[in-house]
Amino acid sequence: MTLKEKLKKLKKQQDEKNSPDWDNYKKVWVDSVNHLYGTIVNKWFKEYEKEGLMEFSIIPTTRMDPYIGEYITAIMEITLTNNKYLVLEPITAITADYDGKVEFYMRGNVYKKISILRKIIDEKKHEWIIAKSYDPKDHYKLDKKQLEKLIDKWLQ
Amino acid sequence: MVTINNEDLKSIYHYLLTIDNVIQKEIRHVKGNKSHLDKMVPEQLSKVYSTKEKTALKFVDNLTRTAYDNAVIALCATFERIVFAKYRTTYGTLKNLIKTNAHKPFDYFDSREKFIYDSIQYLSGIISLLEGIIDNDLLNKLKTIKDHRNYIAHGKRDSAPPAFDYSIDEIASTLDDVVREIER
Repeated sequence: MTLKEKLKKLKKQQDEKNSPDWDNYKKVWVDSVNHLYGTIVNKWFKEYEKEGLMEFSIIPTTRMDPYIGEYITAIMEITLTNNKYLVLEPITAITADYDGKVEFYMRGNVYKKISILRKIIDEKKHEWIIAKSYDPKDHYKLDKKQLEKLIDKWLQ
Repeated sequence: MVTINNEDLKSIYHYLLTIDNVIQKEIRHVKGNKSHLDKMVPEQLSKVYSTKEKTALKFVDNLTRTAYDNAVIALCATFERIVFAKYRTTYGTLKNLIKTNAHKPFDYFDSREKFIYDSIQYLSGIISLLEGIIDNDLLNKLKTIKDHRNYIAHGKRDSAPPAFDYSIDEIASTLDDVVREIER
């Protein structure tokens, strides 16, 4: 093997080491979204569902994102009474800052929309951030209280 | 609504705001009255999206998104036209300046073309020219807008979109600020 070939082999090994495992990234993204829906349905808003104030439905959808290609994920629709619908819709698994975006909005009301961004902490941990604007000062950790506050405001 | 100084940017911004305004006014009527959608769509699409309230609302959500994507493209296209016109004018001025003032061997070897070479074809080239010239925050905003434009224009497939969508006001205002900085 010539020196050039050896150097090329070394470079290839380094490139393989540095490039993210996009298949795993895709799987983790889909799981993260499902986990978020699970938390909302089974934990945060369970009482609303029990009292018949909210109804949840999951609608499978296909996405095509840069680097990771096509995959199946789901939109979650929250039906309130009086023909009002809230939607959690995965937009992209890859974003320039943060690590994926879900939009939360009220159907038919373009100005009632907010970005929910995934922030990867480490290989096994991530958190969701509610972003009200580009300014990091307007970014808050997503929790039940934040979500309720937002819906309350939208329903005014 | 924001104040835009550049005339070209101002007019496209006003058209886009008007389109958005018309859409929003019409959309309001669809809520609670799905058949209003039939008054908005072409005749051939009548009753296609208005059979169920949820379908009608989905249609208007996507209509708004499409209008937003098109607005990003239209504003960036206008900005490109403005900055490239300015770049070509500047290039021409510099070329003439050197032609008038340069001594051999510049002229002799015809090397002045290599020093001032009209090679910038894309917005990314203009952005790299502006590095260190305009305010860093403004430049970063411009890069984000350019990335967003590329993401939309290239079929949302080969680059990462920004995490947050700038409003049409923010985009128009940022592009206008860049033009003002260039003109300074």
